[in-house]
Amino acid sequence: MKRVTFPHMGNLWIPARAFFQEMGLEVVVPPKNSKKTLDLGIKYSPEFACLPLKINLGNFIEALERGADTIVMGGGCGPCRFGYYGEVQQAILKELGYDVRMIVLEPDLIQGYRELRDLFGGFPLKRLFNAGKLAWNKILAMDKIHRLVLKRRATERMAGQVDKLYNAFLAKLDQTMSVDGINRLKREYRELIDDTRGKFKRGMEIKIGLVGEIYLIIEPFVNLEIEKKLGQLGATVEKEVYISNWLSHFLHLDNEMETITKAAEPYLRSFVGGHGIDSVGNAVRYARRGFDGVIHIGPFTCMPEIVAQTILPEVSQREGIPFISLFFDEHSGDAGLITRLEAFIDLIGRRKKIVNYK
Amino acid sequence: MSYKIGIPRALMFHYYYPSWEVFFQEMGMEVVLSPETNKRILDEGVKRAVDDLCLPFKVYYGHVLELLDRVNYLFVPRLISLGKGNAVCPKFMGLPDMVRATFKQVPPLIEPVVDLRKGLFPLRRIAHQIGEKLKVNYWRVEKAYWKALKKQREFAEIQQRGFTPAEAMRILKNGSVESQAGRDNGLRVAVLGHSYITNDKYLSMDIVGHLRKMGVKVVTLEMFRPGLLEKAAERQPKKLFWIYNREVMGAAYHLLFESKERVQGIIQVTAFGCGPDSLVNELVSINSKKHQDISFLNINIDEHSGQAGLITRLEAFIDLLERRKMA
Repeated sequence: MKRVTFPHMGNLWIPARAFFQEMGLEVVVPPKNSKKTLDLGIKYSPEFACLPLKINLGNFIEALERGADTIVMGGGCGPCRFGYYGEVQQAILKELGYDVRMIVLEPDLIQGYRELRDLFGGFPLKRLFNAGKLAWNKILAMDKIHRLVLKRRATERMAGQVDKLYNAFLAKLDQTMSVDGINRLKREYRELIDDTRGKFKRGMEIKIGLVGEIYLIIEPFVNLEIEKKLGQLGATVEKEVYISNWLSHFLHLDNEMETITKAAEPYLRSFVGGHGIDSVGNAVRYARRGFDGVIHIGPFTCMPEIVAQTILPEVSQREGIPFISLFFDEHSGDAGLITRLEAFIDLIGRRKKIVNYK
Repeated sequence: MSYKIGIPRALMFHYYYPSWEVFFQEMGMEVVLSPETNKRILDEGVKRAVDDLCLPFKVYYGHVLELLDRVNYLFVPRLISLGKGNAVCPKFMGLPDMVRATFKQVPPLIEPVVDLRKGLFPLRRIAHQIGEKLKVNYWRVEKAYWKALKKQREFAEIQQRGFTPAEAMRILKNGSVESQAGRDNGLRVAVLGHSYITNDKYLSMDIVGHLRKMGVKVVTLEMFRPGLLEKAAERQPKKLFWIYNREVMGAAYHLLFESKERVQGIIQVTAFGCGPDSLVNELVSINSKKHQDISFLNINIDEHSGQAGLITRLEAFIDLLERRKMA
């Protein structure tokens, strides 16, 4: 039997494990992202590759050491580097002497069908539908609760209360294997988290929009838990980049992209790969919705986000919203990040007081 | 009306300039070119760019600055794709917007969207869009377009006879080019990298010129027929979507595995912060290990690179090749 693994990206492992298990495959979830993952990744990756590639590679090596023999990975047709990750990682793993099969899911229906047929040894439609439904519901529940957590951290009565509930929710979600169960769990935790609601830590609401590259936004290990830090500083956070949004966009289930393209149009008139145009478009949308600030994050040397970074100062000026760009690599440290976030939130707080006073 | 059209001497200039020049001149425009890259251009570009931007784009900003108050229009095409299944680096796709966001006062841009995947004769359509914008007579545009195409073909043919793009441009202008080769030492070395780096004397610190002075016969990727490179690039199971990198990778694979005219060494030139190169160079390096008798040198260029260090490395590399050849 095949022993399947996949790269980490936030809590993606919960629905991914459910999906492959339902399809009757053995799943090896790579150990949580850690310093060791990063070190392994850095050691064997090209020096100037972007951070997600390095961490993915670390995940793969750790999972292969635990007996995985098949890797499922995403693909793409550019211009972002992610589309070529699989090809490079495969070459590196081969060079390191691992005997591994890598299945790269391309945005090409026929090829995707072939890959999946190979993986599951056939194409059991009904089973795929059920497994897909279960995974999809997990993703929706996960993202829904996450949205709530981003709001409630700034108003919790006891420090760390919301995160404790969130972690408990995730652990239970991993165990729940029915759609009804997932919905019950979602309702239960929505109420529990809502109950923590107290006063704003800063005496007023500070709303931050988080934009940037998807991996950096979704994976707390690489963004140094920026969302949690912002919550602790008393800011409520909103973001548009979730696994559910990404999937529904990928499968053309929504027209979110049109809204974003339109918002970005005065500043950026072309798709630039990855989430570059999303960063610009969503920053504009947050500004128009009256947010207090935008934080833009991405991995060091990320091409689409460099385009966005170049354009965001103009957005900030013309739309009148403070913004800060933070790029992360393997050398990014907690202390530096906290200082910058504190300064940014303080600045916004003071700006808001002056505006209110007037 | 005759307008002054500004063309920055950077990035796409190195691939297409001769045809652009003909195209605009035939339409009765005056082409204003920024000077060759120098320290001031580099420094001014670096000053205006975000830190993480790669060097060639920083240099592009420097060239734009040179043209700002000297022209009526600035020609900044937005490259999206040069054909089915290929793409360019994201920064090319956002270039006009990046220029506008970086400079507060820019002359109006001529920014055709170059996406050659769609429609019949997409290039001709783009030519007419530009002509309309400049209010030029339809047939005059049509004529300019065909002349430009012919020029581009000539440009490519000269390069394939063994000249770098810079030399080919000089040949098109003056009919000949001075030779700078030193005493021939029988070595053939390939210098592989994006044309906008290897072909910019200041940016690449004239690697090609230095090698020639040492008596080395230099091969660059422009000297191969594109079809040859395309075929060699197919060694990589998944088609590489970045078109300009596919040429670089194709040239490397061609020299490593297919070419009958042997090279003794391959020098890969990369600018700091180049996204596609960071992955492609790794693949080429892995493959180069299969070929023990071609030596590899990786040169990474950033705004702090100095000539002295580079020349030492080149000399050491050539010494090594000479010794290997004698052994």
